Amino acid sequence: MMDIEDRDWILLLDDDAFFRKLICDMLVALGHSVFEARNAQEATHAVNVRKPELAIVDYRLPGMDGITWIGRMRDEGHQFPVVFLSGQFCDAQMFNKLRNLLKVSLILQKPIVPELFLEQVGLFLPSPSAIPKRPGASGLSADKAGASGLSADKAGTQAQTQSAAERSRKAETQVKEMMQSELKHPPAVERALQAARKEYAAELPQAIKELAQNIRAAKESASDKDAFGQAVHIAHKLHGSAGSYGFANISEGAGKIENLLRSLENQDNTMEEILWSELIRTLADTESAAKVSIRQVVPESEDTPPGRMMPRHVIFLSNDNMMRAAVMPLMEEGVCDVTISASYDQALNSAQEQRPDVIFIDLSACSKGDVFSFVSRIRALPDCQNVPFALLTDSTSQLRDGEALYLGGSVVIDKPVSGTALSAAVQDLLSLRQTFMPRLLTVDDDDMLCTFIKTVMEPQGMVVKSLNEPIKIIEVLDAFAPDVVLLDVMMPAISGYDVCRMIRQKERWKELKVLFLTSKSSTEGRASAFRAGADDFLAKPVVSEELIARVKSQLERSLTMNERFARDPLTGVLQRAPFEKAATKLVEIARQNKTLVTLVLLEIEKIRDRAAQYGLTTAERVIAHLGKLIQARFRAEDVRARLGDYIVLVVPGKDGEATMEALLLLAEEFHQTKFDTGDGSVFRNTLKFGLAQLWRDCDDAVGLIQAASTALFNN
Amino acid sequence: MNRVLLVDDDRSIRRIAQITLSEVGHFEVIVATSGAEALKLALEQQPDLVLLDVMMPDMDGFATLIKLQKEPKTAAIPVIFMTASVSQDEQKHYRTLGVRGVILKPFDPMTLPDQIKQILDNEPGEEPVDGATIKS
Repeated sequence: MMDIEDRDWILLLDDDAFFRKLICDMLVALGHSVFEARNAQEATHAVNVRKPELAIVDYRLPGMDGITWIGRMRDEGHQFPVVFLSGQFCDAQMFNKLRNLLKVSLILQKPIVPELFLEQVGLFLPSPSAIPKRPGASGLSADKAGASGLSADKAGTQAQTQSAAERSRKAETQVKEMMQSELKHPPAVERALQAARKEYAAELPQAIKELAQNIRAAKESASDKDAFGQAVHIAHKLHGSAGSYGFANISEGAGKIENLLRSLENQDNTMEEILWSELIRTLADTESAAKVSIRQVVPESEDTPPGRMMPRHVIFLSNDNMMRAAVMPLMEEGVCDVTISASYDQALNSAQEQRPDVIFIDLSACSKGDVFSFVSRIRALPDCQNVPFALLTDSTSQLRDGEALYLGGSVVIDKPVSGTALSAAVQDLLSLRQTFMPRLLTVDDDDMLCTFIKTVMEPQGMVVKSLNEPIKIIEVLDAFAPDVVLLDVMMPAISGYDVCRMIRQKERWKELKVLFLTSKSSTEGRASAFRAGADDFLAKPVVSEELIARVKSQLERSLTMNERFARDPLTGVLQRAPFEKAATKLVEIARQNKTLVTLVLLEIEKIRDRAAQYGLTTAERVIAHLGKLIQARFRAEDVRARLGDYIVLVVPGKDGEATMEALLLLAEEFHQTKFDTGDGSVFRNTLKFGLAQLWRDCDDAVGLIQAASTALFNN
Repeated sequence: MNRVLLVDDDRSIRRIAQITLSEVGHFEVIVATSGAEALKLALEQQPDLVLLDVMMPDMDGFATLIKLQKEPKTAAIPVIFMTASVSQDEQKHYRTLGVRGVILKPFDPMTLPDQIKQILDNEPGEEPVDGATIKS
């Protein structure tokens, strides 16, 4: 047994000899003394001899298990930090017990990744300065390098070839380099410094403002000795403190200002003017340099006050003054940003300027035909495919249910309308709009950062949710279904690396885009992020432009997004896979809420004959036209897709009657369009459809399609 | 060596120095915001080192140093000055006053503890260490 009576040591409690050797070699290489215990009894014995600096404890042990042992130690009043290892991810209950009751510092899952392990445990390792360097501990021999090969064996890979040994030696060198950089900057210190830096940055603008005011006052009147003295004092302080906080450019500027002020004290009148102009120039340079570097640390300093979310944009198309008066409170209460337009062109312009989230159309002032072309034009704008519409009607512009559906009205409101009803409608439509937006989940224990990310990403058209209990990650993923996850590396008790591994273990989230937030932008930091399964990483402090760019580039590559929104290039409607998901979801919701869904299968009559007669391209033009038309009509929440020669439409919340009415309008409009055959003559097309209604014809999604096709083919 | 008395009227400087002195350097840090408070704490707490800002209102670093030296119970405590850029001549002048070394402001908080250790490792009378470097 190693002699532990007279030195600092780390306890390693694990019954797996291979694992002990792997960990032990790494820690010894770092200069630590390690005592290996095979069971709880040996560990207790050693602890009684001398308190360890850190205990690394496995869960499954012969006899007493790891949790019971930690509990025993805590009962006896031992407070040393514990890193807990387990073969499986623990659930929230076990996490809370370990974290809150047993005061475990870090919870890790086996198998460990050696490089990550050291980075994660590094936080809790005793300081290197306190450890006497052991001779020979600095060099790693080849047989020690083989230790990581042993763990690879256990994972089922044969890693005993020459190149494997080479690789593992390389990895060891990397680990060593990483450990050194880790030791230079323990993450806890870096965190504290960053927090201090943020606070300091928030105070900086005021200090610089005061400096500028005093300098200007001193320049205005030579007799203002007070202002002059103040300016010297502030410049002097800024030089020392800004530099120490890492704002080198501000420090330099302040130092230069201080020197100029001091030479002004001693100069005769001939030099004075030159010195002042130099001083003012330096001040201006410093002010602008400060703006840039402060914004990098406290990004929401000027344009958007912290915590305030960018409002949603609602367009009201109406020339009814009563209506306009009813709308104003929405804006005043901060529900949304409202643009009131009196004409279609005006509304279209403001939609181009700022992407709308909801559009209200007052039908009392316009003909239905104009509404069709307006809706088509809005939906053709970038990112506006799924903007929901609300239709305002009065006694002169009554709409039938099917007409409203065909016009694309998600909501129909009869005028006069109360403020509360209007506000409720806006809220409903905003949440409907949200279902079409990409979703971002932020996992970070720092609330300020979460708020910052929300503030930056929501105006970019994303739905943002924050999670500060990382152990609940899987639950939240299932409920929120994000397209991108931003994951902090350093969180209490569990590291971002392990959270990422938990995510990757679930089949459903294998392809989810994960970005790490790390305070290390070094090569090692980057390497660790990718090793842990990240798609990309963002260095802290986070700059908003970079955040937006990185998240967007991940979204473009996101499979979940493609799955939800992949479109058929010919018609612009959804492809089969996203359609099946969307339709299943609509039916599921309808089954839960006992609401209606109708599904329609559309066929262009004799489309194959057309292809044979006029050529495939001509036939495809007809199909493309139907796709575009159905895209421009119906509501944002209706699902349209192409299945081979057929177009399918799913209409939630409407019965067969209303849908049929809308379909007749569609058939009529489609029939009016003439196609040329290529040899001078034109032809028209007729639409056939089969309709099925949930509850009436069947009670699930598969049944709906079946029933609709039966209806179509028997027609 | 484990107890440091940090004297500075600038709250920002106290805060950042405190973080790394305790977390990186593993010093126990006592904080004073003025020369007068520094004298009182030095007497009571008997620190192993005084880290003393030079430019302070009321009693500045020089005055504080002289008083520390005059008081028998604090005369033996080594003092390091913290100050913004000064010439080599001035630094030499400081050392004739009995200062163990000078740390230049701005300093890199991460290496501050090392700078202190280096200064203290030098025998009194050796050239002072003035390696203040700023991380960019």
